[in-house]
Amino acid sequence: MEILLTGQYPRSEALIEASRRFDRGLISSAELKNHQDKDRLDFEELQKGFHICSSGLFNWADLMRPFQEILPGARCGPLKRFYETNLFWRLLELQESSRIDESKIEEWIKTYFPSSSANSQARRLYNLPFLYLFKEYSQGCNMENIALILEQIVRGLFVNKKSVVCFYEPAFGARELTEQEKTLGRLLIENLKKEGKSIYLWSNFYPLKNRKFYFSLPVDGLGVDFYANSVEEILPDFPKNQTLLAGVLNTESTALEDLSFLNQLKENISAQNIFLTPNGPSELIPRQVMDQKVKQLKEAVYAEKFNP
Amino acid sequence: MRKNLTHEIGSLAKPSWRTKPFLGKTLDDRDLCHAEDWAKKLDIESAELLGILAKRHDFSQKDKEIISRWATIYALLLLEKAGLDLVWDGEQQRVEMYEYPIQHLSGFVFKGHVRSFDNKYYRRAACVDEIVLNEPYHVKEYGIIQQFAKKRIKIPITGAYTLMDWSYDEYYSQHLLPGKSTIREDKRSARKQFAIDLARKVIYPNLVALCAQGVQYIQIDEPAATTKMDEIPLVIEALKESIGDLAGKVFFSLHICFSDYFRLFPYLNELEGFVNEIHFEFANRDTKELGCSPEQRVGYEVLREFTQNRFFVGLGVLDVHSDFIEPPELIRDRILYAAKILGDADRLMIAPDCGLRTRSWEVAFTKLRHMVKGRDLALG
Repeated sequence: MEILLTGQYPRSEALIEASRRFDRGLISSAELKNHQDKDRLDFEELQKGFHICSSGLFNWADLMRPFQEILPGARCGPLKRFYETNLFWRLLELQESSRIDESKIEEWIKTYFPSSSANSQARRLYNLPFLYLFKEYSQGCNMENIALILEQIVRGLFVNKKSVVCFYEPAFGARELTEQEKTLGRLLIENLKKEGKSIYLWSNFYPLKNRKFYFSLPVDGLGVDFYANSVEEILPDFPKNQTLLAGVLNTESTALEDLSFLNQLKENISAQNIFLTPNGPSELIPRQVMDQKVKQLKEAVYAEKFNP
Repeated sequence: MRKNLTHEIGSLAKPSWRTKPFLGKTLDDRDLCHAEDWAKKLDIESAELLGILAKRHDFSQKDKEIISRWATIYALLLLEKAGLDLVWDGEQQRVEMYEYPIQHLSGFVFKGHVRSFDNKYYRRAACVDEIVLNEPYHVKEYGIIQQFAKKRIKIPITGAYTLMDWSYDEYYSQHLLPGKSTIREDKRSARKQFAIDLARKVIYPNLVALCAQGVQYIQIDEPAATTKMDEIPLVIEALKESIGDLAGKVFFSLHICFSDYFRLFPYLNELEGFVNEIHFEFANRDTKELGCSPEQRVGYEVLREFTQNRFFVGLGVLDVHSDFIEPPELIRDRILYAAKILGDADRLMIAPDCGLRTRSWEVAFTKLRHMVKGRDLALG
């Protein structure tokens, strides 16, 4: 089994304070970046030994905000609750003709997915919103055009030979998708898979309403939140030889996990096909708590001891 | 009694001369000027406060208590001078709507900061043990405000469902196992017990204590009410448990903001007999155009749901996230439109969308004065 820390990782108290001070004009952007870099380095240290590592997205306000820098005319709009949480994202206001400014992609990737000399052997995880999530938290652009935007970005990320793109998409569980949405989603993935790179889908917080469709998608890994779905419901239908992104780190609770569940996972799926992930946005948990959860999981996975 | 009362929703910004002493920071000239300027604007004899603030640092515990009390006086007078009918002190005695009540309970441990939006974070706690209310936590606060308020007082308190939803749960869900066949039912059941215990053990005793003090207006804040669609019945149940046999003895107001209001109906109608006023935020969603057409008043469409019940309607007419100063005529038109939909202007109470803590006192004061003028233009 492996651990994969998908999504935005929570900021340290020091970075939180620095972010507040930056907003008030008390520190410069360079000083803020120093704090962001420190968080990122600490996070890379936490992921030492992982085969796929993330930068933690410490300079992302939410998964939509950075896109306004790369989509001409895009701007930040009103707040919208992030699904059924107490977290709020800002809607990205676009135009129907919005397209990525290709001349900015490389710099944008360097800024928002900074590379690291730590864990240099590991593959790099690039977290992005999937099609329905992007549509949910934007205005002014239809889904077909959003698919084109995402294709542009992902092709830029695929330049890194070690890239793994992980699309985040609660909608696979949150609601019934229409046939048109399913068609567009499948087409997007099929187009990107032609590049021959790894794509994961990570969904959480809800029972998987669109399970049949979700499991049929030609991706390299599928996420399931096991605090919203039972083993009996999910694993019998889970595609054979598919990689499971098992949402076992509970981001709705600060309690350390009872890891005996991992035995049950191994009984059903080959360990080499299991990544252990958060079950939702890690930002819902304070940094020091999330670090403790990850450390406990690391010790158990490396020692193959799942009975705490 | 005057109809169509104007009231605020809870918070006002804490001035820097109120917060810096508690943070161990030194006051500067701007801080002192703020206290002096507002003393003049509000016609307050505040020599005691200004004398203490002149120290600029190293404030004793007694100094801080006096500063805090003066912040209450200033805030009360600001609201009274703006012309409001019901007032509070802008929550000058509290840290924040979640942290303040949790600090007064046993069974909770603060775990750290989590993001709300942008770079706004709040301290979130976990319930780790049985919940115990150490003592009702609004009585002392109410006593201070009662000493100084000249107008009628309305006290805001955070509701049980919001306290539950904004907390982690390590106690009620301690036996939750991932992947279990009953995982969803187990989660639901744990959350229900958590919310009901908060209603019975924390909110109800607080309300009883306030009623004993003679409070006439209580506002229960439930900003989390529409967070989880399938838990709206639980929101209603928790409110009923919170109010219980106090229904009818006090004027209860329910404040819910920045939510998907249509989800609340028809469940909200079950609160008739428990809650008197339902207050929503509307101005945030509305245009700034004058007029009483549906196209101009797009923010107020959910008012149609109120034709199916008899609640007083707390009408949010000021956008609290903007420094835009609503002209009285705009407020007038928002009120007239609401009256047209309800068919009964007497059901309206007029307020900002939410607390004004993100606005400066200058902006808050002007907005509120215009709100009162707008009410008078619309309804006389």
